[in-house]
Amino acid sequence: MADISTFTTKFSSHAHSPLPLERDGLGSAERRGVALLTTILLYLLLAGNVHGQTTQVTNPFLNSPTHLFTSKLTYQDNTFNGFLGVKYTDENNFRISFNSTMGNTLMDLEWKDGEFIKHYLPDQLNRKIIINKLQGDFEMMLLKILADGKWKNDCTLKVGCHKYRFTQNDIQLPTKLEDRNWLGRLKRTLNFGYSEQKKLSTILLKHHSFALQMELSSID
Amino acid sequence: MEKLIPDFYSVVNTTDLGNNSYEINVSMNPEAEVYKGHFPGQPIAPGACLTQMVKEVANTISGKEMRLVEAQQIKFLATVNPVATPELRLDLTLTESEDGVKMKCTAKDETTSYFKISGTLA
Repeated sequence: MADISTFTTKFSSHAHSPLPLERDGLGSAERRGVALLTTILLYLLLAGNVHGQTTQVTNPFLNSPTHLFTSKLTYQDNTFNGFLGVKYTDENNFRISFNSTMGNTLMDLEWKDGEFIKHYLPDQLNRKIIINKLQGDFEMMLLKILADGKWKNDCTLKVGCHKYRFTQNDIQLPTKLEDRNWLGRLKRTLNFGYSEQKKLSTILLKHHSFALQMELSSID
Repeated sequence: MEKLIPDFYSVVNTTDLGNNSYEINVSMNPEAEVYKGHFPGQPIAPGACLTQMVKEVANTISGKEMRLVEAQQIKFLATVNPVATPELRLDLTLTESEDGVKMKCTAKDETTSYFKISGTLA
């Protein structure tokens, strides 16, 4: 309260003092016009600072057109091991294949020209609610969101009701990505690990609202 | 005994250790057709092919044409890359039982255990 009263007092004292504009012979209408113009200019300047500047995030998947990972999917007490192959044509277009350790294909999905294509999904997984979850998880894991929006200076991005926030290392590679809902509750986290050669080596996607996580380790 | 995938592997030598235990050295062929798809440029032996290989080796030793009718455990502990791991050692135990032949196999090299399979052949 003390601070506010001090500010008010100072503001009042300025208000009563004769302004240079008045001394130069400008009337109150002109003064209001100049004040309005100054306000608009200040707003544009501030808006430019907040919305115009974006943070550049490097997509670690784009250093190679193909990636192969061993994968460990854990749901509650069940663990499922396999391989995840990813093939990129560009940042927006890629295809994934998820295979079991025995060698059979469990998922074959593609993102092409803004379209999500199911090449193969077993009947047990071919349900809208599961497909939406899988699509969302892979889009987050493979950093499609980097291509979908511009990140603000505070390393955040809002997409629908999702609020993403990332942390990056000293060479601008993402190390952690958080996904919170509109209430600010943490829904998913994604962690990236890198080798000494700065190549992507591990990925961990963890859901916080239910017991599902996926661990990937790169195969060189 | 005929191989399902002829060029996938070849047996280098088989040693009978007694007590129905055998040590088999197999050479993995990185040029095998299967690696063109699994996976292009990064060959990894599919688990199904490794299981088939163990079954074929067991059939050759026992001299019978049997199928894997039950698998108690099939566990892949590390990926088998035929370029990085050109040779595997299979420690195999075959025991006659009422249901058929009980089989236990562990595949390893000097440093790594790659997979464990136990099941019944009949």
